[in-house]
Amino acid sequence: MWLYEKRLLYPVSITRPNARMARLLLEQYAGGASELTAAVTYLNQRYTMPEGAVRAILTDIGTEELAHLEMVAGMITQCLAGLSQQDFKAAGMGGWYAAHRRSPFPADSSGVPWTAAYTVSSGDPAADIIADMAAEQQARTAYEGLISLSDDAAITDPLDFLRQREIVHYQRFGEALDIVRAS
Amino acid sequence: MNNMTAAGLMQQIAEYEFLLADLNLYLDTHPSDTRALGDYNSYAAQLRTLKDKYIREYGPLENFGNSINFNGWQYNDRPWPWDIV
Ligand SMILES: [Fe+2]
Repeated sequence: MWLYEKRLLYPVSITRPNARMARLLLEQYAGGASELTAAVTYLNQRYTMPEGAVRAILTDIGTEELAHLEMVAGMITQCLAGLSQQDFKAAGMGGWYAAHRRSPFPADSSGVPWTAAYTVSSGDPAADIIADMAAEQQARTAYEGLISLSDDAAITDPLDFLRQREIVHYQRFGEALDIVRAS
Repeated sequence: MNNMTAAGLMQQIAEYEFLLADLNLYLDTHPSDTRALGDYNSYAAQLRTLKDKYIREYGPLENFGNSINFNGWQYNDRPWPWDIV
């Protein structure tokens, strides 16, 4: 089971409304290489892994991705807080306002709804872990893109934390692949 | 660690817990590293002390019975993690 802890993994405090970045952040909320995709993928893959170490790493990284998902949702919520209906319209986000007001929702930055088709669970331990390593690299690249597009240090700082975590996850999955291959 | 503000205590908790999450992932793939294991257990004990202090003074951090609500059902109270504080 899971327990909730009422705090963010890394603090987020965005006080300047930012419609443009809210929309871009959706990419890491529920896009193809998003935190949502990572969490669902890893937590699905663990059930049939033969090695305890691989079950453990998928459970724990999957859990950390849920904490990242909460951080990104918090960032989107804070970016949208205080925006007027007019601000949404001016940012070309009238559709978001009409459908969701100031709530995040699981779609990518172009508005395409999240789909389970983004996830990988092949039932082949090595194939799954190799896919996870690629996903971590994609997530890192996506964070680098968002950082370069950000104009607010309050947004860039937590994005850099998330970027660094993807590098650590890639490393741990590499070690998990060695464990799978040695077994 | 005496007379710490809620924010100061929370920051310490966040630092310890981040360190522990990172060590946890490392130990998953390096279970025979006894030095890392020693660090993990000692940081875990310190984290529990910090959390117990926070919970007693400022309210619960965890759900489902893992934090005592010393002063009424404080779990509902703000701030929630995404509130701008
Ligand atoms: Fe990750």
